[in-house]
Amino acid sequence: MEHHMITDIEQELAAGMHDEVDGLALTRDIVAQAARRHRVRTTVHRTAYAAGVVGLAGALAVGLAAGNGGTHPGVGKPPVASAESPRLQLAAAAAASQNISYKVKVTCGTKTDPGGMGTTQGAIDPATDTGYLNTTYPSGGAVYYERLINGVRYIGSSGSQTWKQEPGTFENLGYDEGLGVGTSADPKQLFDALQQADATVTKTGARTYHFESTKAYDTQYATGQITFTGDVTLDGGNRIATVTYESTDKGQMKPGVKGGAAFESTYAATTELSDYGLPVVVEKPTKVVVVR
Amino acid sequence: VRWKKSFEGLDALVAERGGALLATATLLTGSRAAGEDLLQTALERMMRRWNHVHGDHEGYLRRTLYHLAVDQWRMRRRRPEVLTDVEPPGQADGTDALHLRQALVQALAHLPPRQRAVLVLRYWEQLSEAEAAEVLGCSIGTVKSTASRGLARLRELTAAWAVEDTPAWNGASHDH
Repeated sequence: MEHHMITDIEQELAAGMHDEVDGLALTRDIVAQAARRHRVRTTVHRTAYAAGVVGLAGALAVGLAAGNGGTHPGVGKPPVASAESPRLQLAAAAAASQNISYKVKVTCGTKTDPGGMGTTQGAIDPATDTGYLNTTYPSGGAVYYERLINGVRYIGSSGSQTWKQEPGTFENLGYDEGLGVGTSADPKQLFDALQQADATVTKTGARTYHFESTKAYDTQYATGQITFTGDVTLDGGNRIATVTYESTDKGQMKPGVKGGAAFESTYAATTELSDYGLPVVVEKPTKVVVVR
Repeated sequence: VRWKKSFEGLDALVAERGGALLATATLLTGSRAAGEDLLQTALERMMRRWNHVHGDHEGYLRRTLYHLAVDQWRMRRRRPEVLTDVEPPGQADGTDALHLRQALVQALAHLPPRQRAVLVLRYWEQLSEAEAAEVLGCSIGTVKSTASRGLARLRELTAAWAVEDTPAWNGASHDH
């Protein structure tokens, strides 16, 4: 019997595999589930909000009726620092934080799913397209690594012996890949959003600001409103040091869309930025597989 | 639904090839539930890269399954569940071969992910060493040595079970 076991092991293994999975069929709609999770990831808001990518910029840049005094900085125009307007001060701080190297730590996720809160830490130098991110994956266990060296992006994880080099070149780290929560984890988007913010901004201290906005929407799929609140702290050089914010999407599906269900979800994020202007040095991984 | 437009053809692909992909994922993870999770994760990965994946979506999914499995991506919390599934093979009666097959598949779940992946590629997918190397993005030599270590480990595990099983079987016969 022992002899039999050794000589036939490959054949028996193949036969055993067939026995094990013969006639296996999917029991759930994994395409729909994957699509749903993909949508949560990429749009932050889990509803069928027709605008698609809402994100931070969209939520902040909405035209606000209430409490805004009517003067808008205008999207795309360079911001001007002004003693009178907290909003313009914030825009100036965001502009000063752009196009310079920094260290970053982001913690974010959907509040209703505490297991989905992830943390990523890293640094980026936009001048050289070089940086890195180490991400603790929301569902636990592995750490996800990303390195960007002169525009070439490498991906690794704590369980893997090799790194993958992605095809093409990149200007930025893949915050979405890392945290899986959408574009607003990227400080670049955050800066843009703060710069273009059409929200109500109040100065709450020497270097602290509070912002709020609410936008109602009525689409083919749902009606509701997105409430967006946050606080910003500036560092000694008047650059962004921390941003904490929450975005709540509350509404109702249209009749015929998911049974007209009511929904509410809150996305929360904290971004900490430091070490502006310091060099970012990233070592190329040794064992690299090129992804085709 | 909107996503169906975004990911055109994906429903049909999964309807047609879902069972085969699930079989691979189940062998890679050691349980059917973990296999479905792995396949879903691979689908999500493909959705994120949809605009970069041209042509062979099934091939992309299959490669992603192997890469995710080898990376132990999200699989760690599944491992205890896999281990509880494992039982020594049955008694040495006329169904030896059947028991050996079951034991081998159960022992597969004990192997390190890379060894498991190589054995699934070689003996389930029936790929050549060169083809397996291509899927995993490693050298043919690595496939050879990994497969050989994996088979050796399977022999060890199933042989150990056969030995462990003997006293229990003798003990049972004393009860008569």
